[in-house]
Order: sequence, then structure tokens, then C-alpha cells
Amino acid sequence: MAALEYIKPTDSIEAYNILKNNPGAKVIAGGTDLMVMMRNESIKPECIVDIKGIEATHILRFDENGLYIGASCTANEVMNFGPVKEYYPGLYDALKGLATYQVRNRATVVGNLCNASPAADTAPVLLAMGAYLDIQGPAVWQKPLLEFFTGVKKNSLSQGEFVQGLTVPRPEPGEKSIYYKKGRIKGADLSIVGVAGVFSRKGKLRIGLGSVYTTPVLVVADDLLDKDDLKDRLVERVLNSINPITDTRASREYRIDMTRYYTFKVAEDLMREASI
Amino acid sequence: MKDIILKVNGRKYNLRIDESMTLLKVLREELELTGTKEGCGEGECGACTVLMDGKAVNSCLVLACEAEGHDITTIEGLADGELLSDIQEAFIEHQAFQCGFCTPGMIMTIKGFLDENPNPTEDEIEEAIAGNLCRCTGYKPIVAAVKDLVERRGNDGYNR
Ligand code: FES
Ligand code: FES
Repeated sequence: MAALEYIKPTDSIEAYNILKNNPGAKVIAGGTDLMVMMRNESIKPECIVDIKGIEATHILRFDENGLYIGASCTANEVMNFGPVKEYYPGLYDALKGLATYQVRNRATVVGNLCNASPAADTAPVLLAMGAYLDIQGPAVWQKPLLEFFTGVKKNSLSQGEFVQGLTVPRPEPGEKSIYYKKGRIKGADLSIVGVAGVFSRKGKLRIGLGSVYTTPVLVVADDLLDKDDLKDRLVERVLNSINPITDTRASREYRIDMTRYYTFKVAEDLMREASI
Repeated sequence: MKDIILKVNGRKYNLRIDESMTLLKVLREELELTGTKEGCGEGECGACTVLMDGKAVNSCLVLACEAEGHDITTIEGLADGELLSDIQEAFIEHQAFQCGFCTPGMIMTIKGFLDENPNPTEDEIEEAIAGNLCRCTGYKPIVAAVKDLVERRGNDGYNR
């Protein structure tokens, strides 16, 4: 590794200014992806800006607006936060399957999104839940997660900007959520496909998909809820929204088959749960 | 280069390090704490696991600079002189290692995990050590050691 500068600002604006004035700077929160990329030299930052010194990035809170997850909150912290299992079970499922126990003690939810991997475990479910990001620029502004992913490992942040936290809206009464991840093995692995669903009788049916397109995908199917052949139509809509590739984990065909299977399963399980 | 103070196994060390150094590298090369192993260097094998404020983390994925201000515990910090910790004793009794390369990381993961969840199911134990690869034991004696330990701690409240 070449010479590197390490800076730990305590203030968001200060962090923004450092990042803005150093094009070779990278943000570190959990660092579980960044450190690997630095080691294999796929990135060579000149400066590392550690945002864990900023108090606001540690906020983890559940109130009438929903769940707020600061950028420094780790996967295990979020998973073990009581309201998550109760109100956001799909997010709980996604966090449970994310990497390994030790990695989850470092990896952050916001970092998982910022890396913008098509396989990011938390992205499908957070898309389906309608999450939005607090972005620190010259001032803080909000952006729907849906508009954040722009390509494989690409996000829409401008020079200097970083995500300070995200809000997951409070679920409607009776709303259900779920996430299924298909990996190669039972243990820690990247997903072959990931399918999340959010459903409420009041007229919401959202499917989030991972590893089947250049970005995580959201399919809105609220209009299908009163249809008799809902599940078939839903699967059709989902399959029309994806374009998976063949890679070392699985073939395109297998991904399509698994997406079909898990979309059906997600729809079935959500409706069964909602009718209990 | 940067001056940092690292707190490891209760001691505060004054260090001048290259900012790109990982915690793993500083532990092994600057502090001669070679109990912590490097297997993969990229978060896959768990051989480098240490505790940071009581939580198990891969020290190959942490910059030494990031570790400043936190309490680090390595395998060297578990025993009290000649007196081994109960996890180490359980590993010996169950022969939960062969070559021993994965053992320090395995034990640190288990230490962090049991401090958080003192009464885990077998599934939970297996899930917790899924990030610690062992090429020798087949994991069975390791899980048996942890189960036995949990039971014993429950019986006499023995925990050191
Ligand atoms: S050396 Fe850190 S996980 Fe393998
Ligand atoms: S005892 Fe040899 S790798 Fe685990």
C-alpha cells in the first residue's frame, strides 16, 4: 500500500469539506469491503476519512417516523435492536444472512448500500420498504434509496458527499416483510439471488431483488392486489424487470428460475402471514 | 507516519505506525503478539479474530488507526499467567484443535459470542463460528467443547 493519510473528523461538514477537497479520499465506516479492495489494490486511496468520529452517525432510533440507522451502525447492532425484529422482520432476515458474525460486528448497513453491489443483502428489502438516505453535502438532503444505485458498484453521490444515515418508514399496521437469500452453501456466502417482499392489505405489494441486474431492483405491484391471478402476474412482472448474468456463483438461467421460485414463495408466505 | 496509543490486553502502547497498517499487522509485527494469525488477510478465514471493546472482529479488516481509543483483547490476554481461561480448558479437554492455526481466532470468536449470548443453541454456535475456517478438526470437537462449556458455566456460574 502506498502512503496513506488517516483523518477522523468529528463534524459532518468538516468531513464533507475534507472529502470534497481530496479527490483521492475514501470514506471508511465498517471498512469490511474497503480494506479488501485496498489490499488487492483495486483502489488506492491517498486519504481515509473515518466517519465514526461523527456522533450523528451512531444514532439508532425507532420513533413515529420509523427506523433511523446512522452510517456507523453495524449490521449486528441493527439486527439486535429490538424494534427491527418486531417491525422490520425482512430487514432482520437480510442482516442475519450478511457475511459472518465477525464481519457483521464491523460492517455497516449504510456501507452495504454505498458499495452498491448488485448482491448487497440489505438493498432489496430496504428498497421494498421505501427507505431514504440522509446525504451530507454542503447541507444534509434526502434521497430515496431507489434513486441511489446507478450501476454495478456505482452510486449517485457527488464528490465530497457521503451518506450520514438512512430512514426506513414506519410500517403500516399489519404490514409484513420477508427476505429470502439463495446462496451456494448454508453458511456465509454472497447471494445467487435475493428476494424481499413487503405486503399490506391496505394496498401495498413491493418486491426487492438482488443479484439479478446491474443494480438492486424494485418492483411495485400494488395494482395487482385485487387480481385473482396475482401471483402469476407478479412473477411475470418480476421476470420482466430483471436481466441476470452468468458468473462464478450461478448461470443466468438458474438465477431466473430461482427468482421465479422465490418471488412465488415470498408472495405466498406474506399473504399467509397477513391472514393469520 | 502517525503516532497512536493502542490499548491491548490492558496495556497502553505508544506506537509510530504507517497509516496503512492493519491492526493485525501491528499486533504481530510491532507488538510481537503472534498468537493472532493471518490466514487470508481479507475477512474470510477468521484466524485473525480479536476482541474490540468485547466484540469479535477480523483484525485484518481494521486499520490500526481505527483501533485507537478501543480496548483490544488478543488470545494472549485470555489466560491469567499459567491459569488458562475456561474456553481454553474446554478446547484442550475436547481436543478441539489439531494444527492449532485456527484456534486463537476460534477462541476469540467464541469468547465474544458467549459474552453476548451465554446460552446459545447448537445452531447459534455453528452460525457464530461460520467465519472461522478450520482445515483439520471437522468442527465437531469445537462445537462439543463450546456446548460442554456452556453447560458447565450454567451449572456452577464458573466463568473466567
Ligand atoms: S486473516 Fe483476517 S479473516 Fe483471514
Ligand atoms: S486445527 Fe488446524 S486449522 Fe483448525
